[in-house]
Amino acid sequence: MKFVPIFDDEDYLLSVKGDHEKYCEFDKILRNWTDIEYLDTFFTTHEVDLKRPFWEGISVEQAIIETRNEAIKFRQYLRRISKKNPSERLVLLLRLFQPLKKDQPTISFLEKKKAYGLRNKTWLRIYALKFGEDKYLITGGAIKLTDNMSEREHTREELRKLETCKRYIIEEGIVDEDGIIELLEL
Amino acid sequence: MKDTAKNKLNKYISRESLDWMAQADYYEINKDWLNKSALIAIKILSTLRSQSITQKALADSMGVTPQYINKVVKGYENLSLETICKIERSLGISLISVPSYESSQVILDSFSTVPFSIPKIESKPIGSKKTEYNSESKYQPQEIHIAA
Repeated sequence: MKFVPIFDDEDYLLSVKGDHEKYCEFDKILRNWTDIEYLDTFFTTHEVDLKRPFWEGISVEQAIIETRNEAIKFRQYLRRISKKNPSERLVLLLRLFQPLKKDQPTISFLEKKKAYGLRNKTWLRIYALKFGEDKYLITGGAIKLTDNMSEREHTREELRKLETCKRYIIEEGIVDEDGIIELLEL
Repeated sequence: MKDTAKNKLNKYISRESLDWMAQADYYEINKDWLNKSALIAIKILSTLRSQSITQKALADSMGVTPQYINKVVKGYENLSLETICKIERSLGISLISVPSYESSQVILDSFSTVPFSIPKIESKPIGSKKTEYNSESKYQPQEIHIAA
């Protein structure tokens, strides 16, 4: 397992990359969310969830378009903030992530976090572990159409990834017991 | 303790070229055709599903490889008009429409019967062109519409 910095000049935001993977998790989710074939397969597989009243009868085709547009906007937003200075960027990044669960303690060891997409009613989620004060490690992302992550296999898988990464970081001694790390300036 | 953690973390950091940044920059330059390519891909996939046709069967009927069709349905391919027409013919659908021009002239069977004359050009005062212009061809402007 490797950690890839999302912005090239500092390490506030990292993404997990599997040993034999071509792309890191962050690259993978953005690729999937703009890949029409992937989205078509996903929304036809989960059409029953798409029919829930909350999504207001959106069709598979419209869902594909909305997801792609939102992912592109999100990617362009990050590209814009990648050109800002690191301290300004940090302020914007800190606003992105929220606790994974509403009832979880505000300060916890390797806290599990989520970021929403940019629409009001968004189904896009990015999942991350918080390191220390202001650093995040992206473990994956999902299109979440149900109320709870435990309801569908693809969101359960994201919960497993969060937990696996957390365990890996502890077992490898990458983070101390206070959850504080010092990242090297390379 | 901290130094140990620092050194250990360093082993796991991998600085490499970021795909998402390259994709973002590529999209900025090519978004006009990429957006159309995505809509075409959606239409193709929904037609394949409704007609129970596989991507391989479509590839065979078009004389292209299944790998090429797979690239097309991802919505990243800059399609040629020839390819679009082949897909339209194979699936019996329309993917794009363009402005049409209807001729008001009757096309005759034989050239020998075509009355041939040179149009008479009369001198007009400057500025009269706009009001005098009268084409026999009907222009029906239409936005390119891609059915999604």
